[in-house]
Amino acid sequence: MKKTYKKTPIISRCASDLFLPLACVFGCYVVLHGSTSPGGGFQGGVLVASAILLVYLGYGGMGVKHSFNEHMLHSSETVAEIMYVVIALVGVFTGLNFCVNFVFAGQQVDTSILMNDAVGYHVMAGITCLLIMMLSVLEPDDHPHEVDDKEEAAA
Amino acid sequence: MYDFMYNFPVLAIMSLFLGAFLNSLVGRRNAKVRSAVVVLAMLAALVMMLSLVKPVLLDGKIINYWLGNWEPVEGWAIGISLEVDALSLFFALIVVVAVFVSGIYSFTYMSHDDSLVNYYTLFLMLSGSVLGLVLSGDLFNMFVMIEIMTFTAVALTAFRNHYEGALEGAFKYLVVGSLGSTSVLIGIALIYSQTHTLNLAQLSAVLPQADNPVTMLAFAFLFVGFGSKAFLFPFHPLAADAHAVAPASISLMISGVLTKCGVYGIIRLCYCLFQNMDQSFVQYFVTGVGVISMFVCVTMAFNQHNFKRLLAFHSISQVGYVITVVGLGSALGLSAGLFHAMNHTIFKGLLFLTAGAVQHATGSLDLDELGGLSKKMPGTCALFLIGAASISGLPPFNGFASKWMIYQATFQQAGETGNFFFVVVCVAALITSVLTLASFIKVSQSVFFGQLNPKFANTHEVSLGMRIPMWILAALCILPGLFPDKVQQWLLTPATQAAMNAPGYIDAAMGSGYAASFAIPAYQPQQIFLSGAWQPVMWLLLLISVTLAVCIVALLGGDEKATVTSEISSETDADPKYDSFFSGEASVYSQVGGSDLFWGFKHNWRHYFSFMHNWHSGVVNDYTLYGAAAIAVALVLCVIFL
Repeated sequence: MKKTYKKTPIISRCASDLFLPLACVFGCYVVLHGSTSPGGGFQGGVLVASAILLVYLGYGGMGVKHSFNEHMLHSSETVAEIMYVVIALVGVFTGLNFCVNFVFAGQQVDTSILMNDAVGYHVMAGITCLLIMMLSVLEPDDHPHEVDDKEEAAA
Repeated sequence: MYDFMYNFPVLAIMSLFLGAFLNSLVGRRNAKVRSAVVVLAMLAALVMMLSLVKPVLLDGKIINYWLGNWEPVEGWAIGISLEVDALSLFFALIVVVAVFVSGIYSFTYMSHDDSLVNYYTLFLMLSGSVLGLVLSGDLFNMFVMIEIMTFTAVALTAFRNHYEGALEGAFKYLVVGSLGSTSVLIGIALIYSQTHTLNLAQLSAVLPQADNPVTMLAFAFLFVGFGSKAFLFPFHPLAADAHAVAPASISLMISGVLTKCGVYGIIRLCYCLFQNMDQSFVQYFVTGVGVISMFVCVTMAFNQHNFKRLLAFHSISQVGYVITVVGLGSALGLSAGLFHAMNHTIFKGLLFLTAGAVQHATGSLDLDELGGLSKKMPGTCALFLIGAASISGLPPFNGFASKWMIYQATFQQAGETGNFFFVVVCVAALITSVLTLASFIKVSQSVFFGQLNPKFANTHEVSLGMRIPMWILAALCILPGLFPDKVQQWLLTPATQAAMNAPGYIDAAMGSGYAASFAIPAYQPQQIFLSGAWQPVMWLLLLISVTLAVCIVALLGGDEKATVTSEISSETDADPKYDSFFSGEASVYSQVGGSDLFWGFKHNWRHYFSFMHNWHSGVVNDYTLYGAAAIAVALVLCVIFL
């Protein structure tokens, strides 16, 4: 496995190692702080999801394949959607309105902080799935020689 | 209990969306779990909407729901709201019933397809978005729901992407549908810049007074946007391309539910938001668009050779009827329009489902190829005839009841105003109905009667899972036709009065006295007066006796008369069409096709038909151009005349 990674230049690998945690932490900060400052679930989620591009730049398509499970990401995207709806519905079942602030009643922060987290999680998983799809198109053909051989045989 | 029922609108929307999400999480492996989730979600929405019938439709309450309790402060509604009056609930009932029938039908109809989890997820999201649109009390939320609706409908149109033209149809729908959505968005932006609010109730109070060029432009943009969602002229070619390739259950949704959203948007826009239905320009404009859609689409349907394409053009033609009478601005006209909108969902849904059954059984939708299926699929044939009789407006089915009201509404309008335009409208409605009947005679001849194509000798009747939804719709075709006065009393009158009662709608959301502070006069309920009368039950008895007489004659006549052609062909073992009097290749299968029935009519109208043929080029650039031209014409007309 190490061999495949060594194909990519060391500078981009080091840069990727350096910036990957920063991108993740900054994205999570934007998500968690979304209810009181500019930004929010969507923007933070996209920031976290962009980390996959750093992985791709540093370690190539193989690195992305080994470090992400697309199926799990897809499921967690759905879980985030369900979480959002359930958080909103709790308001109804505590005898209040849909989307109502039930946790921090009477305080400055509202339930949108929890919904923000769900949105952030959803966007992170969803955009990562999309990026994996796009990157898989970019990946070079695994067996280029076989195709050539077949074409020659056909000719 | 009533306190909790107050939550039902939002819970119904959320049950559909939650069903979609749960389905994509747990439905990937196990088909039974998937079906259970889908049925539960649809059933929850259906039951919640039905339980609102008593408080909203019968007691006349308006449910007003502020998400997160963000209620209006000092006359400004900033929060998001759901507002359910009788008009919203009327359309919501159409939506949930159609969704339920379509979902049940899908279980058998789609069973041979793969990646069904995606299908049901998209299907439930489409349903949820449409329900959200009709229940929303906020203009921007309506736009969001329109976007979800358009994109899920596009994806579902292309779901069977192995069909020829599936991706092409979906692409056209995507491009031109986005043009319509953009038009709605521009209209909303213009309104927001003028009034600084998006709440429907507050807008209804502010907009009639804000009489400036910007709001007129907004009216034109919103009208074209909602009209494009109802596939009105000139957006109708899209519907044909999309319907021909979509699965039948999705055709039901597109024709029965999505077009109703456009109709709902136009009613809200003209009767509630701008309240300009009493201006003669708006009446001419809306009615004119309706009449053109109605007439152009019925003539276009005449020339089609694909079963579902033909039904698609008829669908737009019937929506044209609805818009025509909605544009009259009278209480009778609006209630006739609502009745026909409801009936259109029922009979057009039934016809699309029978087309789906034919396609499921034979694998073909080509009218020139099919034929003689009544012997192989008698149940489907009977259901098709019920649907065809309804859409053509034959008594005692529901299509007659609503078309009868439509003729009366246009006739009364012509009599009251003495305007020649409404006389033309009334005549056009009658002619369209006749052409519809002719067109359905052609379809029944091409598909169910005539000679059986040897290719389809092994066709079998479709299974019970597909027939039960069709029987539900057939029953719904007959009942409103037999008891139109009950439908009028329970559904149409409350919905019509709610649509015309803009002050009541405003006060329910903003607090009583808000409408009066904007000098909007209190609403006086208008009487819905029918000038003609008829006895539906007598007509049913007549229909039964005539059918019995025909059956007895056919039975007494014996086999030798009924099967003349088959006898000759069994003796000579060849088609008599190719005897020595005729020339041609006997090996080719041919029957007296349905398209040959009206050759004289087609010949006389050949210039018109060739013009229409060239005009429907099938190029997406042209269709986008027509859409842009529609926006331009609407803008110019509204700025000059409004």
